[in-house]
Amino acid sequence: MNVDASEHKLILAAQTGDHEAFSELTRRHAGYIYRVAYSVLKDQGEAEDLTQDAFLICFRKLANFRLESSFRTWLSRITVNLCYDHLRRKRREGVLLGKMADRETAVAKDWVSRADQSMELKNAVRRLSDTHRAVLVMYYELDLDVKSVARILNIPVGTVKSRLAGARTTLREILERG
Amino acid sequence: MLCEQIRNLFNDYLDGDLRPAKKRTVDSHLSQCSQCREEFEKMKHVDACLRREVKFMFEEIPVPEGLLERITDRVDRAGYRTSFFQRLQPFGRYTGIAAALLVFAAAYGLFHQQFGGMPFANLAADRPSRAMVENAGPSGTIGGLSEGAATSLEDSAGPTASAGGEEAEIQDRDVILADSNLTNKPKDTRVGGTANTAAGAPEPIEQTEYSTLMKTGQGAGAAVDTTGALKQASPPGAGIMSGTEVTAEPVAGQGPGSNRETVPQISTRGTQPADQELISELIAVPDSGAQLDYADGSAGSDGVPLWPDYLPAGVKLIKVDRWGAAVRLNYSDGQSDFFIEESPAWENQAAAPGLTVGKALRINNQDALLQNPAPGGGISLTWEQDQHVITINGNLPEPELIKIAESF
Repeated sequence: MNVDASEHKLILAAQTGDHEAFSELTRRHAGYIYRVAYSVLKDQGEAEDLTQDAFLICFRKLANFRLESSFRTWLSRITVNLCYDHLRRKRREGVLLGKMADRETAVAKDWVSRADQSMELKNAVRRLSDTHRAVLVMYYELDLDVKSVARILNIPVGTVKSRLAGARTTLREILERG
Repeated sequence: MLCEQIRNLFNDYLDGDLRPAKKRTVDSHLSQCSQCREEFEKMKHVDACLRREVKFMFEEIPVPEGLLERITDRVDRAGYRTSFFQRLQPFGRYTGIAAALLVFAAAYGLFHQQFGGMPFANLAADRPSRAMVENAGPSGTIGGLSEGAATSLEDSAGPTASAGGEEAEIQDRDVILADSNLTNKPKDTRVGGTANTAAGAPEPIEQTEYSTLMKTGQGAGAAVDTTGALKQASPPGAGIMSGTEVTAEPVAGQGPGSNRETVPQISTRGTQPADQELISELIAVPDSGAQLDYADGSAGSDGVPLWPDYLPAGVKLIKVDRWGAAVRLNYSDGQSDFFIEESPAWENQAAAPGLTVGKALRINNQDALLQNPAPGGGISLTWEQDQHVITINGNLPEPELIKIAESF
């Protein structure tokens, strides 16, 4: 039985109330979903909270899951949406007030000019702002297309594309500097 | 097409966002132009490196130990508590509302039987669940609407079920703060206002799958909030609801174990500065010497900020009511009066009785129901956001009401 088929069975079982099946789904995807949350939030505590929230919502909404997309993608989307709700609330509460745009510019400028290429690449990706990082993770890791990324993040498609293009340009500069 | 124009399309090409005609143009050009082909290969290489780095970064993120157990525990505690409305969703969009109406009717009838009746208008105006729970007599009778609804529909225990015991069981995230075995992250500790212990008759609470839904604030003679300040302000054995009721009115059925002293509790996420002074006055606890710290936002009902970002000019907060985990903020500018009420989605039986039919809207990407006129008068807008049911009701112009709602 391949992974998809067994997962399909698990999902169907969980949808009928099989708690063990849901536990198995949780075991399979908890780490991944935590990483999705952490990729966006960059805070361990918040990422774990949101991961728990995501699984709770998943549990409650599982009956509505139509198996049209992969379970992991569906759960990832729930998680990313939760992360963005969370960030929006934090911004509203003043924690990130108005800093996002400045930070993005500063990080983008700071991205270049590093010595060790490997470390530089890692740092470049790691030091991206929340919004840039989320775009890259959703596009490259979650394999979502630009329109889906834009829809989930509630930003224009052009913004998603410019962030991808900007990341490529910067990375290319690093690679060519060698 | 010039090479430069072709190269400008490379990013779109890699994004998979080129129209077929343009893609064919690029492919055709690349098959003829070695320089552009080389450039495109570099771009593809960069894209592959970026993908690899993102994946490396992703896979290197350490997963906290015990994460799985904590998720499982959380789902075990809260997952079975599917909201009443959610369980009705498969039967239609507004079936839950219709069912809530029936629940309300049933609970009202049972309440009449239990307490000898209270005028319907008073029920609507004074939030029966608050009145009932707060005034639960020493016999341990639960007369509140939500409790009545919960027990009659979900426990089949009827409104006279005893609900005492050393500790009222509460599930979902609210209870996590009370569980020393779990993580003590900020989120888990900020919801002190919703966890209650019941100090009353030591009878066990009936624990069916959904029976614990409505147990907050429920106790035979007393329900004492676990918030430190509340404990401090609460005399032993007092039947104090968690939360604020600034204006308390005597209600029939109040038992001797009840205490009409009210303890304010206000979440101030996004508090409007103009109302700070008034709020400070509102939360002063008479005779207790205790003043709740509302500035840290720890006293909120949960997740969603209670305060909208937008309010019409001249509007002021005049009164805060609180019962269980629900909060009602009453606003006025002297001419228009309205209130904003928030309650956890799993308690939405208490918020639903007035909802029958209305206009479906989308508020903050959520389904919303607009009633103009609302059954109780004015205009009413209700929607669910972040697992809470929020209702705005008053004699505001419809656009203003929607604007307030959208500012949450």
